[in-house]
Amino acid sequence: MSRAADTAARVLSFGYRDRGGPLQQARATTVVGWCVALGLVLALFMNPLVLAAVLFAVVVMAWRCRVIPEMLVALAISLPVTILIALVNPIASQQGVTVLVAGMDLPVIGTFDITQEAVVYGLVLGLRSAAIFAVCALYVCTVSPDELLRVLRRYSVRSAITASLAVRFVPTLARDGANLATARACRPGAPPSTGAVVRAAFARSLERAGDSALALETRGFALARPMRVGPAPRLLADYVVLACSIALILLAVAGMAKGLATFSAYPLTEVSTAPSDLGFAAAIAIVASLPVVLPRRHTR
Amino acid sequence: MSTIAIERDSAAAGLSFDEFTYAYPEAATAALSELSIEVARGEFVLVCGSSGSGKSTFLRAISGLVPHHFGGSASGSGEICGLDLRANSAGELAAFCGTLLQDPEAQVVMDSVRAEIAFPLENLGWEQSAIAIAVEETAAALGIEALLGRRTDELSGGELQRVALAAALAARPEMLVLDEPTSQLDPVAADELLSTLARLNNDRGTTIVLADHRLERVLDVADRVVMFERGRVVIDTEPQEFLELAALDRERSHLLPPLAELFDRAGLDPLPLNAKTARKRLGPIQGRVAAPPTRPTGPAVLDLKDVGHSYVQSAPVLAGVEFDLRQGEQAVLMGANGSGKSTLLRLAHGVQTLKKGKIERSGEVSLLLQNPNDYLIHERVSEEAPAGALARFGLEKFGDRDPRDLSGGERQRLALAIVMQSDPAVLLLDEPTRGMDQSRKLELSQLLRSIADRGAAVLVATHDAEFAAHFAQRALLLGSGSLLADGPASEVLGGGWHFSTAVANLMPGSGALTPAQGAELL
Repeated sequence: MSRAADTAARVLSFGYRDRGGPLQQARATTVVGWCVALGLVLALFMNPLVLAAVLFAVVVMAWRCRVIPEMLVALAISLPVTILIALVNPIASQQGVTVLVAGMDLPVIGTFDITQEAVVYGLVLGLRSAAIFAVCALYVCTVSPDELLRVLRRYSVRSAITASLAVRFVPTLARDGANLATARACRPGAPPSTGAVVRAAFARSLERAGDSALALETRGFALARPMRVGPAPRLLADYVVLACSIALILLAVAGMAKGLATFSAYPLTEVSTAPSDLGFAAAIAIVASLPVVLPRRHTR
Repeated sequence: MSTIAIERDSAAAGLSFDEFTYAYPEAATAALSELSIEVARGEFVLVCGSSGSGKSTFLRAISGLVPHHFGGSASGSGEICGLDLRANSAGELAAFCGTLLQDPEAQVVMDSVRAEIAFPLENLGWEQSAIAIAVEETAAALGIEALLGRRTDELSGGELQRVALAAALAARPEMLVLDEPTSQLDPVAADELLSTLARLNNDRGTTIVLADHRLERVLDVADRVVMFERGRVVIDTEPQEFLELAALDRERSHLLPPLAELFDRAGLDPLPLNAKTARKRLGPIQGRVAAPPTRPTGPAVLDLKDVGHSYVQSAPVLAGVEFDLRQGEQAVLMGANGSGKSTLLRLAHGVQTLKKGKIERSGEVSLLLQNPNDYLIHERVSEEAPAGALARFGLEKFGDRDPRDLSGGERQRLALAIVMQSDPAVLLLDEPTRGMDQSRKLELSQLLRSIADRGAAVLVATHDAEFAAHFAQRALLLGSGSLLADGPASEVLGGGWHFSTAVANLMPGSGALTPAQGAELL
């Protein structure tokens, strides 16, 4: 397979898939709540133990929801950002007392030191960025955009449809990009400049937006009003995921109040690893992953 | 079940335009000029005309997209299903008039099939229970119940088009407007779609206004044919009379469907609307056309041996495909959507990496992909290809224009000029006739023949049996990833069901594929 087609196939695999896992069984709003709870944990704690606990829960849940291949795509997409954060912090931050390299000189930036604390903090920031990407990726793979749209349109139809379309555009634009790349590879002689291809891709995305606008018009989008949606029956998965989300939020707030799992980057790196901190991180991992006990629903 | 009340004259005609003139924004000439036409409820109207004649604008006007969505200037009046075109938006018209556009991928907006069909009903404010029933009923009516749980991005072009049709039909519109809905479909899917439309028209009285280049498929079920030229209606009559008028005018004779052209060439009258009438009139056919030309004797320039391919997590797309192409050979590759034609061409070109088997190439191989727009990268035509290549395809006069301003046919020629900057040994084309009218197809056929005459082997992947019959000496039929048939076009295209020409179906065993060959026998 050509690189372009290969890339397209990988990107196209990224998106909601109903594979009968615990999160796919639950209502979209419930799963959003679970993701928000994880996001709150990531916002409140920088301790690598807690970050690892969140990542563990996400991986376990992705495995149970059978979206590991899609998560790997997300990981591949997030990797450059993660690495960039880890690399930039030691250069950007001049805090820390343990100097590893003194008096480095780079054009534009000038002379600077690299400290052990800045390196560690960069790695922790990178880990947190990877955890945030992983939670977002799990959200994309396990929350049906159609279901979410149905909920959101009670409040604002146009915003809901715009958001839904934006999600749907990802694979479409990826396919268009792959087609452009394949056509570029089919041209004899020197390939067109990247700038020209980017411009063409941009023009294509505008055309796509125009096509979608046309389709929306013919489907009566202009008439759309906020609608009343009758409640769907609650399933066991809804209760379990909701209970885990609430427990996770309470746990995170309590941990914060008790001063558990603290992390301090400067002037010296301090990671609290007392038994209570380890227990707290383990509790986060267990509570967040608890929905894996739910039986899988049969899907086609 | 609509909760959005729209006032209208429910006793009015299906549609009526009176002196309606419309010009797109910044256009020098009007796309529709003084259009006056009326269509009764329950009529099946076939709209035809060459590209740029105004037929798509006419359909857009019926849907309310013109002038509301596209802007521009309009004068005169129009009424669709009792709604004033100028006073009501496309959304309001959508409550009574469903629209199906050409590209199925461009008109799907939701993630799942069920949500896609429900979407217009939700916009119209239907109750949830009524929506659920309507979705199930519409899916059942179109035979797509099995697709309801599927994601829209997993569907084939044919499946997507039927889902889009279901979305257009779900609100049980009084009128359905379709702009070349079969242009992206293989013959099987196209036949299914058209029979569904005929059933809707007959059983439910849905007014249907359909534009299509392949008149032979629709003439038989249409009540009326409306032909556009330069934004004006030049013919508006019954199908039978349309055939007679087209036969009388040499400039319009390319509009004749193959069987009508056969009768016209043979001097038989009246011209048939369908194969059944033609068969009754002709009776058993004796004789056989001269043996088709044998394959060129030159060396093989492309040789495929035991070629196989599969994508991740799916069944093999291709398995054990073997054939060669010789210098100057004119061949077509046929098969249903998803049979592996595009993959085979990409492997043959080398843009897709070969995983199984062996491909030998003697010289350069050029590939023209399905969508010519994929080749248009620059802002000026002259930047896309050297002057010599542009001149060869008659595009030198467009040098300063933006490629995206060219017509569909001109874009196709520009894409050809881009891939044929040198003289390749092999030219591969993937569905180059999609959306082309008959005269353009004949032009393309002649152009490809001239390329083959210069020594290049030309292989065209197509669904279009009539085009294949005009162009090819040899036909290869691909099914489920395997080569099912490989032989002279007269044999492969003459012995099939969906992948055979109308003349071959009428005169089985005669070796005749085209109207000219058939007329020779008669």
